[in-house]
Amino acid sequence: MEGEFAPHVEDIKRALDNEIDEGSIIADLKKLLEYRVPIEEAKRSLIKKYGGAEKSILRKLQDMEIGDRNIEVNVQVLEINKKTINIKNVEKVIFSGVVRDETAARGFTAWQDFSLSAGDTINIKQAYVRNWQDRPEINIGTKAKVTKLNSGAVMAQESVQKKLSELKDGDVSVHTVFTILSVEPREINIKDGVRKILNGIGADDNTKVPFTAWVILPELEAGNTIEVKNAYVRSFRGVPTLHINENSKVIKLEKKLQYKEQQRVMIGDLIEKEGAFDVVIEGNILSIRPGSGLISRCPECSRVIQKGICRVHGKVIEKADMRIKAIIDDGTGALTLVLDAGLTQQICGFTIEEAKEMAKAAMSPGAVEEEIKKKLLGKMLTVRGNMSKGEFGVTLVASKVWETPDTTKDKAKELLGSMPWKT
Amino acid sequence: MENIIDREVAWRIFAFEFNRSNLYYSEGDERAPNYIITPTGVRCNRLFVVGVVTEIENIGAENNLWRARIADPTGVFTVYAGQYQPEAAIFLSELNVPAYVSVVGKARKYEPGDGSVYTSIRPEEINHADEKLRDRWVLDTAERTLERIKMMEDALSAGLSGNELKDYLLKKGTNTALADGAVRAIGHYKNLDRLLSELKNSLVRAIETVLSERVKTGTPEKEKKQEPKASVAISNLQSGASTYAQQADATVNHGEHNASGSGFQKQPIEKSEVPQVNVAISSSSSSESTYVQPADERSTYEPIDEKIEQNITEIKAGQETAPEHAAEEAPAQIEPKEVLAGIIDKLDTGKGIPYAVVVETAISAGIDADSVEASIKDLMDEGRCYEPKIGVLRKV
Repeated sequence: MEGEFAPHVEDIKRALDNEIDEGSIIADLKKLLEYRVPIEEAKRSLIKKYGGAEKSILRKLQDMEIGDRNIEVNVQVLEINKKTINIKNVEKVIFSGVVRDETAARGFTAWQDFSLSAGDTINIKQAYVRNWQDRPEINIGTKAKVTKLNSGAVMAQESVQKKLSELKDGDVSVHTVFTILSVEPREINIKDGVRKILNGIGADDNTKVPFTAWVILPELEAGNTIEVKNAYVRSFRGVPTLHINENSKVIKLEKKLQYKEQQRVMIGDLIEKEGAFDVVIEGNILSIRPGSGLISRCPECSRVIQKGICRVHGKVIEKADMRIKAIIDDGTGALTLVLDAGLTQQICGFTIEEAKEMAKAAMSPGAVEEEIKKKLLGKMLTVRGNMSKGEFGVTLVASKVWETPDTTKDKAKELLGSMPWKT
Repeated sequence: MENIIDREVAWRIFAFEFNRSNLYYSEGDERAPNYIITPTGVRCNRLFVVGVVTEIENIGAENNLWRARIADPTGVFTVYAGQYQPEAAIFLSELNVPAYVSVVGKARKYEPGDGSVYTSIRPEEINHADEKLRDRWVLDTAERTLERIKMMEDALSAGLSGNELKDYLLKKGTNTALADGAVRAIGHYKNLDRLLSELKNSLVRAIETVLSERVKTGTPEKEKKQEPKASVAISNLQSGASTYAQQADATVNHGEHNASGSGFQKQPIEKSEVPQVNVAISSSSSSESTYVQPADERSTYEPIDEKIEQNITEIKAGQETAPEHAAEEAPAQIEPKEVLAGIIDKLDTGKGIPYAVVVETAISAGIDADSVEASIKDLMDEGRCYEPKIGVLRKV
């Protein structure tokens, strides 16, 4: 019987680069044949099971989906960083960064050194796609084949000019115009040591977006209005961020774009976006979520911990902190609002120390949460901050919060004016 | 991203519209959320209201179902808080009317079976509010309602129905939930034109109350003059609730209530609110006939009460007594315990008596519901009566 499917086993082994033990292939094949699976289907499914394939499928980054296996892409490396990770107490060096083709930019992880550097144009075969923080990420494993291509192989496409509000994670060949509100140099650690970059905030007439420049250009100066071509967008903490690199063109414009300080955004419109930077919302606090009030954090990693035990660092001396997680709702939509200790103190009127006293007096840390409920439920607040989406839903982390000023009289008149049927 | 569990938005709806909603909708299985479809196409599961509590009534057999009437400038919302909304029930039991409150809750309906539908709110959160917040709510609600009216008028004039209408609305940028609700509302409500135009008129009046109130309460002198007249106007509203308020005061005792310190600030705030509230009440009651008069509405709610009361009795009959109150109960002058011992002794013919009957008899003998519960517990602790099966008491 063994001899009977020896040629098939050879086929499978070839497809899998002889990496898989012959014994297990035979065992699996036998089992499938016992179920009377046709031999061709059995071969195909086994090759798939062991991660091989007859031929990689050529994909554009835009069409890539989480769970795709054995794909082939032609991409240009935009960023690459070296990381040391610890898998089961074994140190391993991996490389991660961003690649792009003409359709999109995506994150990638290379599980071994393919001696890549930023700017390389490469062909990758037998890559696979995994979910990394809710986004598809290309994984270049040990089975993958990487070949360097001519630098012109991935062509930048001319794209239409976009407003900042239209930028989405993964956009490439981005062409946009904005005014630089602020910019400052930063030093970051990358693969080859320390690198200087610029971090700043840009704005067009109605949207602010953070940007990162991997090149120090004289045009990138606060107050300048610039036209940027061939930039790309990556989300950072859920907020789309514009990246300007060596391939980008930056031109200083004579005209100025006037940014109007943000008016209130309706929550219903806001939650349609994938993330937003420095927006202002107004709404009623409709629920104080568990985990509000006094909390303990691990001094090492700032994770929220219970009973002085951190799930990473074990028993630690906990650090007291205070925060509010609340639902804010303006009648068009709802999202989770997060206020840190400072903002909690500002809006509720007590410090962390006073909150501790409160909890002690009531012999329950829940007393602080109760107090927050009394103070805030139903109340109207105006909040400024960054909105992001994640596994916990839509969240706005506040940078500023204040009680909504009373403009009822003006608003009433304005509303009446829009009601022509009134007598 | 599929993993986001969207929170239902809390719709802003005036009582006028909410109380005229009689279409109910549920997405299939039992655990799916329930919706009330309002005449402006809101598929309403949750709503947020800021208004004036004009009446609080304990309608449960055992101090555990509270009904509050919350007025906005266009009508009155009914709020029920029972044993599964303990925080809201406690809040209401301690509240002195009239008072500004904010409520976020789920839209509920009751159909007595004669074709009519009554809507109410089951509170999730309830808190003190002030005039400023109420005015702001009125304006927000007017603005949202106006947007929906415009959408509905557009939908009506399109002359479409079903999926065609839905596609039409979606193309116009209406969000999916509202487009779906609008299609259902148009399919269901008759005379929608008239309903919408009535609603439009009530919007104008609602906004005018925000403007006019400011003028009336502008000077403290005027406030003072209005006070006596106003207190007459609300006296009958208060009379219903006052006994319960007293009762509630008696139940405010130790433990968790003390921990919630700032709640006691409400007293001075409410006093200062009184005159302004009265203006709101008198202005609404003097306006046109399109308003639902509280008296009319009240009678329509009667069937619900009976039904709920019945349910509560059933529920109560099927559960054990809550033990927490016993320790906190201050000894009364004539020990209610002894009265209860007498009642149980008298009623028990050897087969045991339903718990609810004992409670009812005791309450009619003048013992408040809290003491009844505590006393029964005491008697059981002392071994003078027992519960052979749940909901039945027997003497020893």
